[in-house]
Amino acid sequence: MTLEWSALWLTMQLATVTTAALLVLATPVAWWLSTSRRVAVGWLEAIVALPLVLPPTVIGFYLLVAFAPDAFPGAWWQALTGGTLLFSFEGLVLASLIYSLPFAVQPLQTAFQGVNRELLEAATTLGSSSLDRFMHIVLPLSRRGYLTAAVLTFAHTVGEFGIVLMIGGNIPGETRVASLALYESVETLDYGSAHQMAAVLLVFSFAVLLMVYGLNRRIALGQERPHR
Amino acid sequence: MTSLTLSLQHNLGGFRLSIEEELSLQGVLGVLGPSGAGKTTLLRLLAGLEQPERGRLVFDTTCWLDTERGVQCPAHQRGVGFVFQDARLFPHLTVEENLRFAQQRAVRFGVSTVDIVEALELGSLMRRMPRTLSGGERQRVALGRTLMNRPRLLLLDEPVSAIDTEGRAVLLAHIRRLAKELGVPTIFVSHQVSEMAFVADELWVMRAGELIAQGPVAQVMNQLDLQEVSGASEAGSVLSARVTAHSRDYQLTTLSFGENVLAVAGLIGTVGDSIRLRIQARDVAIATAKPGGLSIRNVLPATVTALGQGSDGPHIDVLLRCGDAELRARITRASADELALEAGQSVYALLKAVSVESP
Repeated sequence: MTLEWSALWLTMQLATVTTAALLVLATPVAWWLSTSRRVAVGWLEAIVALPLVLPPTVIGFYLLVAFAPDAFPGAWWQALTGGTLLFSFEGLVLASLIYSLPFAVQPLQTAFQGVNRELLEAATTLGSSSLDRFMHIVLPLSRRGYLTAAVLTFAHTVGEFGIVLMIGGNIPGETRVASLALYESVETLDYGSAHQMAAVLLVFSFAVLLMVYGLNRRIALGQERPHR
Repeated sequence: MTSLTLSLQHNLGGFRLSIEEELSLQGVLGVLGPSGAGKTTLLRLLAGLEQPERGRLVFDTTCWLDTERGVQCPAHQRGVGFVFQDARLFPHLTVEENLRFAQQRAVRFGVSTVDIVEALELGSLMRRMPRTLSGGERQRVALGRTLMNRPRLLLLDEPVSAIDTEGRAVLLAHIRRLAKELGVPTIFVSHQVSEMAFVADELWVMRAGELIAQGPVAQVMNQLDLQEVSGASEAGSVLSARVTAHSRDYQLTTLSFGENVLAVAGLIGTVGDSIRLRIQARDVAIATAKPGGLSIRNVLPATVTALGQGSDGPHIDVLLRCGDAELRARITRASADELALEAGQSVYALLKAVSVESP
């Protein structure tokens, strides 16, 4: 009965990398979805939301096929880096980006839609270019959206199981994340280790949520800072 | 003096905005008209916030727009300042940061001769968040923010309509003074005749997307056919006068324009000041002989220059010349017939009320 620290550590690494990358990648996607009036918006919205409704095993299966060294993405990756996507940490990150995409895009999209367009007009008449407006008006007014997106993405990546099971291969220190370790403990009837891992994840998740809601309140209150 | 060439064709839903003008901008150009006349759209097209179906805009020597040649200068490069009806301050920034936002993006560098923070009395507001400001304060900050950006052209879209009467007079006075001191050509849009009377030098009157009258403000105000635009009760005249004396005992100020003398209530300005008066048509009565035993203090000799035409209503507007100034009087048609008023006739104008531009 031992707690697998390496599995926990790997989970944190995976969730951190995924969250950081997704916040950057989801920003232009969410901005385009919230501002464009093209028909393609509906299509992209549906595609982004797919991971919400698909069984993770479906995504896992397609990724398994795509990451194989004889398929295009897998072969391309191998030529580029020399490693394989299947059964590797890089492969897990890539899968997590797809799997958690809606959890980053949707809160950002909502936040961007909430930014008053009239403020952007005012900024335009003050000589502010579109990038400048985004950096100095849209971003600061979307802080809560970013916080929500970060938390949901992080938490969702920590909870990932089905996809990791299919493309990760459960290699200790490389792809054996906390949820897999817990699953294996149960399979081998090592309930002691399973209890420990489950409790750690439970306490961790609760602590993160508690912190985020507190922070969120602080931001909300900060926006109505009383005058002195 | 800055030239502006306007040639705009734009669909406004129910009607078309259609304006072809070449003008020299100096001081404040007022654009008056009922809601939906296309005033705001005109400003938005000038600022580049909307694109017309067809059109050409040349400001000074810069071509902002030419749909035929495919020229389009983006809004943020035009250097046009815009003060909106709803201040539109950035809610996440303090007043000071809002002002700095504009200052950092000012296109024209160099020392401004006017300290805008001081001129608009913004010093005590600098650390406040926009949501804690009153409507009048917000609009003052918005005006300051736009001026900090050092615009080449200042557009004001009903900037005082959302604030209380007192704040309104203060802000109008600021606008008038700063437009002059900074020498920035200004276009001021409103549906309030009284605001125009105080702020505008030149006046445009718009209706259903078209320009139906233009000229110096005093002249346009007296055009008889503008009643429907200016509203039944709002019609009136604007004239400039000089403060000549104060009576502390009676709390009256004596004003003169041309050879005429007026007394108005309260101690206004200082002797020698030049101020603007607005006299509403319904506050002017006409007598064919000099009346006696009246409580009205202001009785001026005048000549009838024109009578309004063909109204079925109870009233008729009469234009009077009083020295160099023109006055508009609104009397009943019955009275006009009884007095047998006609152009060229000498009469007396009785002024029941005179309003003075607030300092």
